[in-house]
Amino acid sequence: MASLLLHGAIVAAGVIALPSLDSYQVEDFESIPVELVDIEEVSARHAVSKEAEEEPAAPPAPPRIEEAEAPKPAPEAAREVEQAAREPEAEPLPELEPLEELIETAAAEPEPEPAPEPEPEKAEAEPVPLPKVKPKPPKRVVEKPKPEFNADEMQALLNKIDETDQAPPKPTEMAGTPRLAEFDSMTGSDERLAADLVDALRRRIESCWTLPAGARDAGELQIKLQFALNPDGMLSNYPLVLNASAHPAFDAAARSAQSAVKMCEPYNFLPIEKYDLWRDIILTFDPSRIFALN
Amino acid sequence: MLIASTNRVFCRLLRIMAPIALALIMAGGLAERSAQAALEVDITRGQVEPMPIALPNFLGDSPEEQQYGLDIVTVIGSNLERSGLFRPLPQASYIEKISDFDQQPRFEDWRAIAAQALVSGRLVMQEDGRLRAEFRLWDVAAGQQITGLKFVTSPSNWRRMGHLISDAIYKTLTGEDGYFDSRIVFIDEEGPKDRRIKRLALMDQDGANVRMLSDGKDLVVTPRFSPTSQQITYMSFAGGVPRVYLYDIETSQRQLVGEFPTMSFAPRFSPDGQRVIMSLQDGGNSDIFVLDLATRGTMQLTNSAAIDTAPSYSPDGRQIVFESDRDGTQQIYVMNADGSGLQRISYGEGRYSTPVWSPRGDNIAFTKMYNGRFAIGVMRPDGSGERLLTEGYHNEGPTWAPNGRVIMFFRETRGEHGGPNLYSVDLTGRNEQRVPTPGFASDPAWSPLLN
Repeated sequence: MASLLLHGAIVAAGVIALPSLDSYQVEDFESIPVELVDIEEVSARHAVSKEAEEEPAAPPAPPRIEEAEAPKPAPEAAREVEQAAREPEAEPLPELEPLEELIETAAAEPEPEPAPEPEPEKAEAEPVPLPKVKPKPPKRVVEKPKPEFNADEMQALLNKIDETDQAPPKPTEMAGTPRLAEFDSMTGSDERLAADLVDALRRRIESCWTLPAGARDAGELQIKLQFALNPDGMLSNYPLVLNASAHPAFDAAARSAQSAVKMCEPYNFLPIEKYDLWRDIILTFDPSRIFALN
Repeated sequence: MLIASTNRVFCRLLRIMAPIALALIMAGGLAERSAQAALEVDITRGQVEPMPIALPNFLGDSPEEQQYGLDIVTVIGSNLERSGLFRPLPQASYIEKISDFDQQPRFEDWRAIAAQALVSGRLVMQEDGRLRAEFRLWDVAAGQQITGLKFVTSPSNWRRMGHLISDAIYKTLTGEDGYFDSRIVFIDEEGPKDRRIKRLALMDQDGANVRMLSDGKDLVVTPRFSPTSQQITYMSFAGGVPRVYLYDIETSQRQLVGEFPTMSFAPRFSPDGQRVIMSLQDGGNSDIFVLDLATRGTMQLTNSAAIDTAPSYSPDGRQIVFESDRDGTQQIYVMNADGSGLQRISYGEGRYSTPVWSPRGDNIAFTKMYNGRFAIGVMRPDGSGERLLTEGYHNEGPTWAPNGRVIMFFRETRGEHGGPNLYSVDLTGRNEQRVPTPGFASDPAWSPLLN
């Protein structure tokens, strides 16, 4: 249930970006089995190796939920298919059925499966609800809207400080920049506090984030995440990726950024009386200053 | 509480959404702000650390399957660790003991040991006698499967299975192609310096499965891998005459490409594997030639009074990098594949030699001699961004991993009992590793991915 709602929230987030309100489809997530992990979907593929031995095959097991959720051609999936197609040079190549079929069976199968999920229990027991029930596809879902996502608009509404991707507001700027009268309640000391919060969060997350070192041009990877915190400092939702990129390492880097935020829990060093200030957070991971090379 | 909090998130999103819709309708008109601004934080630093990954032994029903499970995980762990990008966590630290491949892991247990990724797997000896390996790669923080694959092969080929799984993990978690399912051809060296026996040898990228391809009677040097197939070229000095051979690893067939009395490096392949490029000496100078392997026709690309040698194609086949002393000392030059557009790209102190173009095109590796020392370095094809990755008494002969992120080379140690050994270093220069070989080894050449 919680997951369903969250999924709803995510889809909703996607919708925000799209100009049309019609695309707010509830059915989409309603029909998706949320918690089960597709255990069954490992598909087979064979390849022949040289030396007379048959080679391993690499069947992509499409993560059911992702695919199902994102009606879009899931760039991922496409890539996998390509790969599958070119890889095996001979071999029977058993049933490399169209990806769609795979998805269907995958989606269908897990259901009956007793897919034991320790999750639900956990969630119940824990005082901290949502964190556990991370919706699988946060990333993909948001990615799509990406191109459309009009940061300016969103930010204008939120009365944020304008930021042009490249020039992220420094903590200092932030402190000094008068907000557009939005924070009626915000006193000068609150602004300083905001700057302190930014510093504290930055330090914490930088200690958890592992740079995407393997990739070429890793310095060009910029990842923007959005999430909310509960008063106890735990994540209220698994971080959503707000931007997209054609960089081949983007998915991996985004995943590691999301992971860093999660692994950094709890953020219980933030002053509870100022919860309003740190409830909603947007992080911009920008390794460009680190990777001159590589 | 659970529901309430979920609802809160949901409601807030709705609240955010409503004004946006309004704003869109009103073309940016005044919309009432209903959400608190989010706190914006820029993260510009992080930890330069290998990613912690958990690799419990793959499951199996029979002792035999369990043994394969352990062996394959060992191969994977060693591959990932040597890449410098991953840190396999010690199995003793694992809290959850994975016992069912079809069951979702307890992610809390893996978060507790700070694993960022978890690999679970299973081995099944099929009725047809083949071995099947299945694995799932889990994002521990997100609590979800990132990928899951299945491989089938003959049991004797289990190591390759480990390499293929390693590549799949590497690619998924870094976004770059892997390089573990590849091999190295090199010159195995044995015996005292003055009577050294040199044999052509082949091994897996991690040093396993060493196989000798020649018997050591004739001197062999500078093997080169075709970028498209399991073919190599090398030079043999049988009878004192340098001959270039083309050798097919899969069929063990060898054919003579030609006799080249004054050649010192074996030819390198073009990216399509159809031609080779080489330098031929004529009197005091040498020039660059292309030889079509099918027709055996040659074409001369340079014609100078200098020594032009060690040519290497760019991965798109449109350019060639080589070394020349035409300006006085050995430097690196780039020209178009037809010999036009010559341009010098190295300008640093010292002498530059054996340039090799990266398979991903963004760098050229070279050997640099200066102050009596030898370094392995890289620069961009336009000559910018020169960096030395390692240096010392004697380093030579860089060759690229298929993904263009790791370079292998050989390093000679001084002294009567000294000799060459193989090393690898990644593009950051921080991760240098000795590559295990049975004895002394030189002239490594990295294969493309096996596929």
